[in-house]
Amino acid sequence: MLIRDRETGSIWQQATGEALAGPLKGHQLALLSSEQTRWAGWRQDHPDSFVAVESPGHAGSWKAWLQQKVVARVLRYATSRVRGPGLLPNDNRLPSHEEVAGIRVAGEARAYPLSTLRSSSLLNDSLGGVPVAIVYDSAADRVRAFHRRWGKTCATLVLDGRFLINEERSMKWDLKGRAIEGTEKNLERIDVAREWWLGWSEFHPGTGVYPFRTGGAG
Amino acid sequence: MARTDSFPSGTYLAYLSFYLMTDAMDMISAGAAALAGGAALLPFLPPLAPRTAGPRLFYRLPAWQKVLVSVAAAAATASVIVRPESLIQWVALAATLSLGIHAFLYPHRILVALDFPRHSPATQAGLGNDACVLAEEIDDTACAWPLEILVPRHLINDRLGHTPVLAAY
Repeated sequence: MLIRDRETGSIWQQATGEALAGPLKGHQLALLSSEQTRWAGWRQDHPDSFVAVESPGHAGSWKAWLQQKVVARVLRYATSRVRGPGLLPNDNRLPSHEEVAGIRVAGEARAYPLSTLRSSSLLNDSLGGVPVAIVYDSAADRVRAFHRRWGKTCATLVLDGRFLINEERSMKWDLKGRAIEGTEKNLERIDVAREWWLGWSEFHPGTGVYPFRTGGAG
Repeated sequence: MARTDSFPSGTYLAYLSFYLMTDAMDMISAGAAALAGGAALLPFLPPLAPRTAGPRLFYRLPAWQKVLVSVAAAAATASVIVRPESLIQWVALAATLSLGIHAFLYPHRILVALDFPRHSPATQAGLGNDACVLAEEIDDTACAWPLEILVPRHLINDRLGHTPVLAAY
């Protein structure tokens, strides 16, 4: 998807935040490490959170109905069946609309299919020589990734109910990576991009697909 | 940060132009579709002057060039995919294609970006526990944008604390 800003008319790439054309060409929007999750999970972690809501005048209007009932459904139907053209050959290692969690660490990109994460819940992996852990929280349907090495300590993480512990069971963190016991070191979060495979592979050519390392288009 | 709208990828045009290579036998029907499509496009003609100077991306082409490409696409698509047999079918087809092309040319009129929605506290939002949200926290201020209102618009221009943010689906 491309985005145009009203002030200058510059065109921005949604996937990377880069301005492709216009007066602001070459500028880069800062990608935030936002999270796609269920509301209950987010609210539990952030009870003071706000929620963006429709304006009262718009909420019940025909425009809102048109957008939510018609436009959204047409989009969902069409975009899940149509693959838009990209600049690179199709990478057919996964179905184009397979949901993946994409991570890029130390110059190496890897996609973790959501189907694999839902069955495994926690994966200890290594990207670019950096040990990482990918955690799937089924209650909130969200994916988080953490560094699991700090200094000379490298932990192999295990899920223990709603907590993360190391194999030796000497350290414990919550699912946000905050230290609970055995250590004062919070786990460092890694940004996770939750996308369809066609989007991740288009902007990370040569990405690996767990459990394999980098690979080219099929 | 500048406020934003949606915009079509120019590479879709390459696929549309493929359909211009129609069977020669269908040129008459293609011509008829072009006339009907062109007539139906007239209400959607953009202002003649581009809003800003810049690269010659499709949507910045002069109006007559846009119409030409759109009508050709409508005609070719009609003649290849659908074979109308009566005037009413031709008009209906042209109107449908015109609306589709209009949405393609001006997606920001279909996918209307939401600007600075009201922020409701979590206790008053009335959001279901299973609602999917896109959520972010900056400087101890957290906000969640439900996908139910984000997906139909694709873009929400907002502010989190003092930081302008764009929620983009």
